[in-house]
Amino acid sequence: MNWLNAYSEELERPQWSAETVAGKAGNAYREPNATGPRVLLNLVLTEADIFQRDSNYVFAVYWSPPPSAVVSTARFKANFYGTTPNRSRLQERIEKQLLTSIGHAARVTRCSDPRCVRAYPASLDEFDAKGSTYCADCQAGMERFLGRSLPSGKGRE
Amino acid sequence: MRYIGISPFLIWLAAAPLIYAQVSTPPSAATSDGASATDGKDTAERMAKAITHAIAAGEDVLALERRDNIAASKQASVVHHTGTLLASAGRDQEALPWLQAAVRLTPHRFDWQWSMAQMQNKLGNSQKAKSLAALVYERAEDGDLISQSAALLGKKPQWTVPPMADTKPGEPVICLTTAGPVQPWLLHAAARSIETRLGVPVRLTGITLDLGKPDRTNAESVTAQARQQIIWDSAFTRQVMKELNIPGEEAATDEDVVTLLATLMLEAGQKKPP
Repeated sequence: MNWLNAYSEELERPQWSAETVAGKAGNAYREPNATGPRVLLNLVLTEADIFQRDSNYVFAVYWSPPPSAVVSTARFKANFYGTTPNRSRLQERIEKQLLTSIGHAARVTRCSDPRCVRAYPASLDEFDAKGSTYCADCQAGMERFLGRSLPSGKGRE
Repeated sequence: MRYIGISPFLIWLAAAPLIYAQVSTPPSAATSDGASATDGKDTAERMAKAITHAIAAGEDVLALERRDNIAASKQASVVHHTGTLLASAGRDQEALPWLQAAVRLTPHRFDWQWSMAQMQNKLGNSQKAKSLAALVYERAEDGDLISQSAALLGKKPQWTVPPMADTKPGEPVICLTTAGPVQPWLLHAAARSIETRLGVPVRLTGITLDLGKPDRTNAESVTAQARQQIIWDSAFTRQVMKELNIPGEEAATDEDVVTLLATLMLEAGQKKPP
């Protein structure tokens, strides 16, 4: 009956509204003063499982202005699914989501290339299958947002 | 035409009443005999009895392993439990082979590998302990396991992200805030990813947003999905709803939805839909 235990844990798992978290982040945001840094983007990281409206879950939400995103690591972890922990996979997933969310918050147009890290995944399988780097268009969009080139060989293959 | 897709989700949903029943059942090991927990002799007797039971059950699993290691691996927790019981009773030498057997059955349980590392360390086998700790340090996702194994290895990982104050005026940065508790290594990994891939420094705001109470449980999202999957206007669904006294799509409670979907699945397996 192990699968029953696993599913009961799955059903009992708490979830937080991504919009509520985003609202709290918005309220906490303070415009930096003249002597402060130039904030390109506000990023909120959480280990909580988040959802938006009637979705089962979301990996992240983003909004602008100011460019902001909430990224959840909950669905990237092995313990969420009772599968084998793999830290390098977890790190890769988080990195892919960060590159995706930062692109969205930077208002770079949505990408239709499944090889691009910014392609929309409908499941974790699709998430793992998509690429881990920006396509040429997304890289150009990110460079426009940042006002500089991405580190050589890092942003895109 | 396929009436209803038998997806893993539906199987899961159909099991929901069973799951809730199981969750609401009190554990059989509850102390119902009125014995005082502070009675040392009684506690020792209980411990000895628990260990005897655990060894018997564990031996069954190990016997099963010789015939069918796949079936045995599903019960590896029994073997690990025996090891931890023996360890908590101070019977370390006896505990070791059980802990070893548990990780042999489930090598990817890094928390169990860590139990083994601790036991090896306690028994003075520091090389074996370090080898296991290195495995945990490299592979585990859990922050506590990573920190503890790092300590055994004598490592002091620097999982820090510089604060906002560490910036020059006008320097472009990405601000990082946390919502609820976030493991330090995760924060560090996120910041390092951004800096490496985008070439932009990341600074910690020092703000931790209070998540507050959860807005729902996953069960609510699952029932919401079930509502979308049921074909409410089919004659077959209406017939089953009538038999179950479920009033209608709008009036159906979450419990009704789970019952209805489970029944539809069973009926779909037995009858041909109209």
